Amino acid sequence: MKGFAHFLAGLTTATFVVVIANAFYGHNMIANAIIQNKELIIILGGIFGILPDTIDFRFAKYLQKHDYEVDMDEWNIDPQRVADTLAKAINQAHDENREVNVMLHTIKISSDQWRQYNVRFDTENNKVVCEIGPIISGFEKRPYINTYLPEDKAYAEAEFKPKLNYGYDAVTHVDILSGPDFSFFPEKDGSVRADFIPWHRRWGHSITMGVLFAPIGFMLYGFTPLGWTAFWIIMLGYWSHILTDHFGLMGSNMFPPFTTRRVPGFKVTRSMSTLANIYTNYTNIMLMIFNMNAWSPVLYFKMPWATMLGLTRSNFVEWYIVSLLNYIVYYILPPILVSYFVVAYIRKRKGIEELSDKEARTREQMEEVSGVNV
Amino acid sequence: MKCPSCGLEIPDDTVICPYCTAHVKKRVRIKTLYILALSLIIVSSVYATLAYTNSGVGVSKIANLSIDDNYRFVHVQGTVTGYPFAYETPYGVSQIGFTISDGTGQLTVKIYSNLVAQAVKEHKVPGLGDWVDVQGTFSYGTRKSLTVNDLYLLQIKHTGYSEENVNSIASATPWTFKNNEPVTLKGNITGVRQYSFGYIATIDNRVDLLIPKAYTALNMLNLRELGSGVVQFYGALLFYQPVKPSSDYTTVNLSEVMKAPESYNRTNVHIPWADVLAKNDTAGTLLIRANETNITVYAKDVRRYRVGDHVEIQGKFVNYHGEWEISVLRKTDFITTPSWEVVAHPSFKVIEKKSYVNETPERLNSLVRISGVVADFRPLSSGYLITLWSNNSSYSVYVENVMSVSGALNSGEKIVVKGMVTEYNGALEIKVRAYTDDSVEVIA
Amino acid sequence: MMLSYILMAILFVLIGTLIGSMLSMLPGLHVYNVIGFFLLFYFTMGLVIDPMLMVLMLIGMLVSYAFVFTISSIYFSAPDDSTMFILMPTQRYLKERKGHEAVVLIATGALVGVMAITIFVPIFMNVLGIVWDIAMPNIHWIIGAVIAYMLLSEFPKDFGRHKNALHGLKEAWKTILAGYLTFFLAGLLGVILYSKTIIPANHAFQSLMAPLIGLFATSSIILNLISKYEIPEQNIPKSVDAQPNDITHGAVAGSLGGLFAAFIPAVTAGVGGYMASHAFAQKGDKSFLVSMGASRVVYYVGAIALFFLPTLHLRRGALAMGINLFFTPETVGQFYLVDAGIALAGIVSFFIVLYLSKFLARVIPKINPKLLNIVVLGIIIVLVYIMTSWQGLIIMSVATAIGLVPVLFNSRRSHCLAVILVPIWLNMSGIALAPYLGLW
Repeated sequence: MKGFAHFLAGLTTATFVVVIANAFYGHNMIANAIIQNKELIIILGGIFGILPDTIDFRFAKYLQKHDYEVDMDEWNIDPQRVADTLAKAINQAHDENREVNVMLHTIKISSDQWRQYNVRFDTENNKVVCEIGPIISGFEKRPYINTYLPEDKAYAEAEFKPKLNYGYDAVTHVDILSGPDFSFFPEKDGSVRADFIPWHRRWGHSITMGVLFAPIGFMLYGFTPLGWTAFWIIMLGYWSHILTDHFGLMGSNMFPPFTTRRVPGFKVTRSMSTLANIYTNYTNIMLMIFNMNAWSPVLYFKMPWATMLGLTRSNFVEWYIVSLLNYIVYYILPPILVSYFVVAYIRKRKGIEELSDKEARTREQMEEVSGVNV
Repeated sequence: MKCPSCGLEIPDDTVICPYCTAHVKKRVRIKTLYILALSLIIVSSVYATLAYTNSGVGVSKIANLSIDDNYRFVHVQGTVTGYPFAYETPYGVSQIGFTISDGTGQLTVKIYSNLVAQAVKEHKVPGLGDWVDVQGTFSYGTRKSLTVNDLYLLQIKHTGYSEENVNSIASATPWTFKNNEPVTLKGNITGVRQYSFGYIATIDNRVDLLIPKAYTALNMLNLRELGSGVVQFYGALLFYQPVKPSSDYTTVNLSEVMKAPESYNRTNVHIPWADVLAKNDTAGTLLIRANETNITVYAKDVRRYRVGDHVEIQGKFVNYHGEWEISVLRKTDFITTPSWEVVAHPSFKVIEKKSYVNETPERLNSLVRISGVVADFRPLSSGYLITLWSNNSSYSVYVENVMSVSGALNSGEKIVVKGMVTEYNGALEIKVRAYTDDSVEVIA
Repeated sequence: MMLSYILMAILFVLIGTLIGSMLSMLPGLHVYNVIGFFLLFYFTMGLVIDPMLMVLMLIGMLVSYAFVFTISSIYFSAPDDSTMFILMPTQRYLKERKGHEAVVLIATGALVGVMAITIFVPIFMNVLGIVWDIAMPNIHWIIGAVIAYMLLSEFPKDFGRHKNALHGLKEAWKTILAGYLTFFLAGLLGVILYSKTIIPANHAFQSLMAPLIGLFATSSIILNLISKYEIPEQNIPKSVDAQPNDITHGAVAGSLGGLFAAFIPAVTAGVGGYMASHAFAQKGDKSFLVSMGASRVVYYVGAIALFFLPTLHLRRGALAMGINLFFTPETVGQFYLVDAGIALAGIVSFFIVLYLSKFLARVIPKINPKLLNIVVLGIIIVLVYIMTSWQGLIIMSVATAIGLVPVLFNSRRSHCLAVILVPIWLNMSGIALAPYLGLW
C-alpha cells in the first residue's frame, strides 16, 4: 500500500474514534472541541498511520548492519562479484550458524539514470544468478536499450551449498535510489532462510509499537476526555497501517519481542495494486465524509434506512450503525464493484493474466524496497 | 528509421528508442488529440444553446420557499398585488420593487441600480394585476424577497384590458368589478393631489387615478403629458374603502333586517353599499336605500354627503322613538363613500393633444390661457381661489396647489392663468392643476 | 438570452483568450497578475461594458493562462507554484529533445480538465454542495493533514552507502532536514507576509507575487545559470509516447486533485495534483504530466465554475474573489454561458499552446541558454518591480534564498508552498503566531 493510503486510513480511523468518543462522553464534547475549538487531534491519526513506514525507511533501514556490501560503478561492473558474494553469505550463514546480511548497492550514472541489474536465487540448482541489465531512466525505469552489455559480460552465476528457503522465486531488480539487502538465517533443519529487506515490517510494523506510542495522547492533552481520545486515535491509527499492509502478501511481524517472523498477509490485494490503492483511498475519504456528517451540528444528509426505521441521532448507536451500513451499500460498494468488474473485463479481453502468487509477492517487495512510495 | 519522439536515427526493428526510451509503436497521434479538443466545440455549443433557451429552474411556490433557499436562485410566477415602489436618492432611483402573489404567499421582487434604468427602457416595470414570471436570488427574512439580476429573467404579461368609461366606473357597485381587474379608459385629468405614495389624479372629475410614485420617479408616467389632453389610461381597478369595515359588525341585507327588526335591535350592522336618497342637515339624518329598503341614518355631521352619493355604513341598529334607524355616533362607526379607483399602469396614450388657447372659458375640459387682474384672492385648505377680472367679466380660478403660485397675490395684480375649464357645483371654473403645465404667472 | 448577446459573449471570450495568451508568455507572471491586469482594465471599462461580458473575458484570460503558462515554465524554466512539480520531468524531456511532446501531454491533461469542469462538475454539483457544507467546519484539520502528509512523505535520497548506522542516518536526514528547513523558512516568510507585508498598499493585491516568483521561478533560473544547462535541438513529433491508459489515469487523478485544490483553502493546484497522484498510485512521468495539466486547469478555472454553480456559489480562490469585487453570479443562464466560455477558451488555448510550442521548440535551441536565462531573469525582476515596487524585490530575494535550499540539497521543492499553506492553516486553526514574532 502507498504511504498516502496509510495516511488516509489513519485519518479515517481517527474519525471513527472521534465518533465513538463523542457518543461515549456525550454533549457532543469531542466534536465541539474539533469544530469550535479547532483542535487538530484527528491529524494524529494520519501521522501515526504513516509512522511505521517512516520508522522503517528513515531509521530502521540505517540501523541494519551489513556483513557484505556490493558496490559497483559503471566502469567496474562485475556480475560475478555479486553472485559470489551472495553465495558466500549463504554458505557462511550455514557454516557459522548466524545471520548474515548482504547489501546490494545501486549503480548510479547521472542524476536520474541508473544501471539495472537482477539477482535470482535458483533454489532447485542451488545457484545465485546475476544479470546486468540496461541503463534506465528515472522513477519510470525506462530502459535505454542500446545500453545492454554483451551476454558474456552481463551474466554470472555462483553455487552455494546449503538448501535455500526463499519465498520469492522471481527476479530481484536492483535499480534506482538505494538497493535492496538480503538477510540469511540458518534454520534448525540445516537449511538457510533468505529474507528480503529484513529491516522492513519488523518491529516498526507491530501491534506492540502502537501500544507504546499511544500514551503520547496523554502527554498532549492530559488525562482528559480529549487525552483518552488521542490515546485511542494514536493506537488505532498505528494499527490501521499494520492492518492495511496485512491485506497484501508480505505480512508483518506483529508482536516483536515475542515473535521474530513476519506473519504472512491475507493476500487480498494481489496485483491490482493501483486499483487496491484507489479503492482504499476512496473508501477512506467516503467514510471520513460520513463521520464528519455524523458529528456535524447540522445533519447534511440522512440515510433512507435510518429514516425508514425511525432512527434519529438521539439514539445514536443504532442510528449510526444502520446509517453506516446504508451508506456503504449505497455509496461505497457500487462504484468499487462496477469499476472492478469493468477493469477485470478489459484485462480479460486484452489477455492480461493475473500475476501468480510469487510474482505478485516480488512485485510488492520491489515497490517497498526503494521507499519511494512512502 | 527515425524515432517518432526525439527524431534521432534508430535501427528499423526497434521497439523502444535507445536515446529517449520512448515507445516507437504504442503511441497516440496528436491528430487524435485534436479530435478530443474539437469535441469541446459540442460542449461549448450545448451550453451556449442552454444559455440561449435558459430553461433551467422549475417554478417554485412562494409558500414552499424557506430559509434553506436563502441566496438560492429561484423561479416564481404570480400576479402583482401591490403597486411598485421606488427608492429615490439624490442621484436617481436606486431600487424599484413590487409584490407578487401566487396564491400561496407573497414575495417582493427587487431590481437594483443600473438595471433600473434598463427596466424602464425595456418597459419592464409591472403594474398592479400584471402576471409576472421572474427568476432571481431569493432572500429569506421577515419578508420574502427576490433580487432580479438580469432583465431577461423578468417576464411581464398584461392581461386583456376591458374598455370602460368614467361613468361606468364611478357608478359601479362593489360587485361590478373584481379587484386588480385591468381596465382602460379615456378622459382628461382634472386635478392632481400629491400623497406620500404618489399622486391621485382625477379623471373627468369622477374617477380617481392612483399613480404610484415609482412611475413618476422613473418618468414612465409624466404628469405634464398626462394633463395635456384626452388620454387613454391603463390600469387595474381597486375598490377603495376609506375605512376598512371591522369584524365586530355583521354585514347585513337591509331587507332581511326589516322583516324581523326586533332580532337586530341594538346590534352592530354593516351596510356595504347604499344610495343617499335625501338628507336633512338640521336633523343630522340621511335617508338611504339599500336592498330596495329605505332607512334613516343618524349621524353627527351629514353635510359632507350629497344626494346620489354611494355610501358604506357601519353603525348600531336602534329603535328611536318607534322608528328603526342606524345610529352612527361611536368612534368605530362610520359613513364613508367608497369607490372604484384605477391604479395606473406605467403606460398611456395621448389621444388628443390640446394646447392652451386664448378664449373665454366656455368649453368643458378645454385648456385656456387667460390674462386679467386679480379681483379677489382667498386661500383654502388645499389651494387658492382667485376671482379674475378679464374682458369685463369675472371668472373663478381655482389653483390646486400652493406650489403653483409664488406667494400670495394682491388684488389688482395682473396675471396670466393657464388652466383647464372644469365644472364645480354646476358652474364653470378654470382649474390650475398641480404638476401639469397649468400655471399662474404674475405680469410685472 | 438574446443571440446577439451570446455572440458578444463568444467575442469577449476570444479577446480574453488572446490577451491571456500574450500575457502568459511573460515568464514569472502569476495568475494574480493576470487578475490584477484584468481589474485594471475593468475599472476603466467596466461602466461601459456589461459585467458578465467582462467575466467571460476574464475566463478567457484564465483558461489561456492555465494552458499557455506551461510554455514559459518549460522553455524558460520559470515555473509558478503549480508548475514547479512538472519542472523536473519536463527538463528531462527537453534534454531528450522531446520538449514539444511534454507540452502536448500537459495540454492534453488541461483539455481533459476543461472537460471535467464543463461536464462532470455540473453533474455532481449537488453532491459537491453537500460535501462542502460538511467539510467546512473541519477545514482546519484537513489543511493540517495536508501539511502533515507533505512533511512525512519526504523520503531520504541517500543511495544506501554509509559507513555505519550513524553516518547512514546523517546522510538520510540531510535531505529530509533540508526539506523541513525549507518548509519552516517558507512558512515563516508566509506568516510574516500575511501579518505585515512591506509591500506598499497600492500594490497589496499582488503581495504574494514576489515570494512565489522568488521561491519557484528565480531559484530555478539561478540553478540553470550556475549549472551546465543547454537545450538540444527539439523534435516536433506527430504522435506522443503515451497510451490512452496513461492519459486517462493522469487526467482523472489530476482533475480530482484540482477539484480538491479548488475546494480547500490554501491548497493550490500543485499540492492538489501531488496528493491526487499519490492517491491514484501513479507511476511514470507521462501520466504525471497529464495530471498536472488537468489539475492546474481545474484549479484555476474550476474555481470560477464552482463560483457560478447555482447551488454552491463557492467564493474560493483569488479569481473568484476578484470577480466578487464587481459581480455576483445569480442565474443558471450565466452558469451555462460561463461553461460555454470555458469550453471555447479551452479549444482555442489548446491550439495556441501547440503552435506556440512548435515555434519555441524551433527557436529556443538556437539561443544561448545562459543569455536566455539572464533575459528571463531580467524580465522577472522588471515585472516584480513594476507590480510590487522595490519592496517586492527585497521579498523576492529572500524567497529566492529559501527556494535555493531544496534545489541545492535535492529535497522536495514542494515544501516552498508552506508560504501559502502555513499562514492560512494557522489562521483557520485559530493559532496566532504573529504577536510572538512581534508583528502586531
